[in-house]
Amino acid sequence: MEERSYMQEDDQCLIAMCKAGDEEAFSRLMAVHMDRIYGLAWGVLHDRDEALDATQEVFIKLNQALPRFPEENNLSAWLYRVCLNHCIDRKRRRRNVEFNLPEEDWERFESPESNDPGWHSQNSELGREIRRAVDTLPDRQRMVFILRHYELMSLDEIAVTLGCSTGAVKAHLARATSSLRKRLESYVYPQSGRVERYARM
Amino acid sequence: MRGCEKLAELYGAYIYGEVTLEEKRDILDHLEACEKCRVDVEARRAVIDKIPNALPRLSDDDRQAVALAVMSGVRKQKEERSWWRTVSPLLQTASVAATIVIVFAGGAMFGFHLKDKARMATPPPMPETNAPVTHPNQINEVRPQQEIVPETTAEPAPITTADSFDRQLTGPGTSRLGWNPRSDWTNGPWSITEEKADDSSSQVESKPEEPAPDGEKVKEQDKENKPEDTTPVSTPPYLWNEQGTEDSNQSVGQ
Repeated sequence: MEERSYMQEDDQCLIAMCKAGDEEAFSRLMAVHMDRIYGLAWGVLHDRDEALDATQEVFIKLNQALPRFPEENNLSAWLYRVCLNHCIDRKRRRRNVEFNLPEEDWERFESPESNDPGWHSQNSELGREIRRAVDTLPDRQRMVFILRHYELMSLDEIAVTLGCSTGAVKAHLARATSSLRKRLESYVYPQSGRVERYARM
Repeated sequence: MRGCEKLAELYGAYIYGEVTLEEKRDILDHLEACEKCRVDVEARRAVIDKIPNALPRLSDDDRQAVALAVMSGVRKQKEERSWWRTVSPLLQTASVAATIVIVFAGGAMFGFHLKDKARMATPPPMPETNAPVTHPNQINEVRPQQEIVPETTAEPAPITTADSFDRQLTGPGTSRLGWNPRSDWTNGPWSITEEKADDSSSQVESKPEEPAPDGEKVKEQDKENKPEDTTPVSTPPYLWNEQGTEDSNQSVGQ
């Protein structure tokens, strides 16, 4: 918690320096938040190049907004919200293309993440099904699930970021986990005999 | 003790360890009693555990590439913004000037259009003299008015002798003042006989092939039909047809 508050104070200082025209301060801001923004973009888009483009767009938008950005605002929350909205818009634009891809094109479509410990599990059939299940969640549920599941934010911070109450965030998370359970239960319990039906969806 | 539906709203947060102590106690008490909810929570936890939560990390090369791309994009936007700041005042001025020119030009064209429309709508003034009409449009507009005059059914206003005399003087071939420069001064400068000759000559000129004997017969008939105590012989025929004897009678009576 102290580290978090220290980061916010650091952000405020860096924002003030950016407003004064210091480009180095903006570079430091990017270095501090880039990994998390890229991770969030990848969590939504599941594509390396798309996530890199999204990260780039988010920081360009930050640079545009910095001159009138209130220093007391939570920069991390603002960045996550912008990143989520941008990624969801981008995902909507390419949704038809993505879901019409034949099965053998999935590996070619997704870039290998050799450094990622979870990549190989994600690249399996279960991984693709997980991505599909997450993608079919409503926007709010998906935002809450991604932000919490990838440990990017606590529920209170998510509530601040999305502008709703913590109770609403908990309800979104409960519905998201329920939907994922219904979608992925056959993979967790293969003996139920519903594997093939889910696999062909 | 809350019900299944109420507690189910907290199962997601419970799996992620984001519930309060009171909520956690309620959930645990309920799960001990409700097998259905217990199975549900266990299944959710198993699925969530299968979803890896490790996000990919950027390599140093990717990090530098993103930073360079962002800075280049920022510089490009600044250049575009500075270019626009330079050009926008000129464009604004030019657009305002163009708007003013268009408005004035449109207004002027509309004014000319209205002026032309009004000029075409109002007929030209009646020629007061017998001057030859040269423009074909004027001929078309003047002749019907001259022909309409006999068809008027309104009673003419009483005309005095002086008025009648003035009308005779303003017949075809005479000026408004009645001065006839071609007069032979037998009846003074106001000679009307000269007018009749001119008028008949003009008629003859318009119909040169008409035989002379018929013309003489017509003249004799006219002499027979003419009243005795009326205007001189030189009165133009159109005055006879229009007001001739009645005018003279009224004037005499008055």
